[in-house]
Amino acid sequence: MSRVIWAIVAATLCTSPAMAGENRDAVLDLLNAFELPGSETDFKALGEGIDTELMAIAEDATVPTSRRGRAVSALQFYPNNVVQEFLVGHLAAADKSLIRRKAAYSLAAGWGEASIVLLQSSLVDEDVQLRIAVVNALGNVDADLARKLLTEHKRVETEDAVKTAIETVLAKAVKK
Amino acid sequence: MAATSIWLLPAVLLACGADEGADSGIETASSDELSIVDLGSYSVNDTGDFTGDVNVEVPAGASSVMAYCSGYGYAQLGKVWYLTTPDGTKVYDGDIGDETKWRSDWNDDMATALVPMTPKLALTDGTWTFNWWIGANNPGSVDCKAVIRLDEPTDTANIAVDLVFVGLDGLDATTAAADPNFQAALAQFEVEWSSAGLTPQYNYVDFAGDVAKYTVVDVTDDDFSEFNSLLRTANPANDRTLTFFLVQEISNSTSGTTTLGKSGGPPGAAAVSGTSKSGVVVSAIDYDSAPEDVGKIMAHEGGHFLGLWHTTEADGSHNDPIGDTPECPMSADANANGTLNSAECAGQGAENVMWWTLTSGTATLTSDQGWVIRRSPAAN
Repeated sequence: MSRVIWAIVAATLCTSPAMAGENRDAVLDLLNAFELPGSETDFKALGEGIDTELMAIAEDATVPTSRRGRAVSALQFYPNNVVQEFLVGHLAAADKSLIRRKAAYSLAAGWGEASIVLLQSSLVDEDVQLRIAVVNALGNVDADLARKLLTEHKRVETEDAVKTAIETVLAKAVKK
Repeated sequence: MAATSIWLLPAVLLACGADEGADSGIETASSDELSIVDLGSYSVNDTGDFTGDVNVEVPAGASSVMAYCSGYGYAQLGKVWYLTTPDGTKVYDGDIGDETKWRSDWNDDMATALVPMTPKLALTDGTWTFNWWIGANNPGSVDCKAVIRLDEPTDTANIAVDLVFVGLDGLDATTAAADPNFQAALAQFEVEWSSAGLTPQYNYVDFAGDVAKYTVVDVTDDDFSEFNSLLRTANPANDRTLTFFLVQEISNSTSGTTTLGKSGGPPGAAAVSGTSKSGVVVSAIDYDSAPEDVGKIMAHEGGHFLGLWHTTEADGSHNDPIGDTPECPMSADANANGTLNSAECAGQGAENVMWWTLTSGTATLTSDQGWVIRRSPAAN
């Protein structure tokens, strides 16, 4: 009986995505690049289970913040429900500012218009750098609703750097 | 000083093809060890054009020249397309792309070029001819100059380094000298450069501009305005200085990701202040939790500024032009994913400061890399 159970477990492991840790060195190599981290093609070329690895790295306090942030950024290439929930959780005020900013960008890049409702509340977060990131992320969504939201927010925004970011994003939209 | 002036006149007169400035001969800076020569303005068609031959007269005994054409804007790209030595040999041709002796890459706003980039192509006296390609939608002309280093480098050298603090939590010019984490970052930086015989000498500076704007330097895939604007604020007491701007993060708003570090150029505008390529920006958010990594980023990006390239690019598409750095061939791509990772290239360049990705342990520079960076106009 125990052999049957082991066979099932073994079969499951063989057909499941790679376990967290299995691809860590290869993923970290991409995240450690001095200038540009790996592209979607680079991460996808590493095979299955990379989103799991990226989430594990993003939550690993022993990994430097910049690399955890890059892991969060790379999650935009894996737009599934588990990843979305993970990113929404990190966008909330429970993590370092950089991680929150990367979650905002990833949500916008991975979920497009559907991310607007997820990002909206962060426009009034007390973290100025997060607000700038959310502005840029909404600009990347390239949707009328996002632009309307930014136009309205500019009227109540108090920080010049955020206002400038909104103006830049809206100006780029006009150019298009 | 007098000896410097003797060769400045022919240098200017040989700036063939200059539309203006050829008769102005403006020497914008000069010392017994360094001279900046105005090479003139050059018309370029706004559909994209060559500058034509831009000649730089190099005197005997000079050790390096950093030449550049600038003023074509942040939305356009330019690079050297042809480089010809005094004996008439075309050592770089953008149509062919042979990078075994020299290399040039695309830059916005200011196309920089450095000789030498390898001992295989040392600077010799005589007329060096550069010809830049400037992309479309340029303003119609570019201004070109050359910085010529006259003094002979030694086997060990110093370099003045300005450390400019921009919005880092708990770290500024006052606290940095006594901050153990930041000093650990500098120690890593120093040990990696010590393999090349180059010793940094620091000056701590607080950023005087808009800290809220530059704490996170926002760039996009095709717009580096904020990065360029920050580098333009470089204003060291001595032009022969490498300026590091230590920010929380360089953020690419297109992809949302973090750039760990970025150098002006490469090569950077060595010994020229106030330009869009006058320094290096480092994402220093990890200075307290991973200080050695910040030191490694400084060593790597500083290497770019001083004229070094990646020993081998991640996709194997380029190698540096230096003879004694290991190259990692695509045949080493054991998992066939198109990326040469550090494990696959162990012993083939992955231990070098200029490997494309940050690795654990102390990276080193080779003898020839040291030969190049000690010759930079920024070094002493």
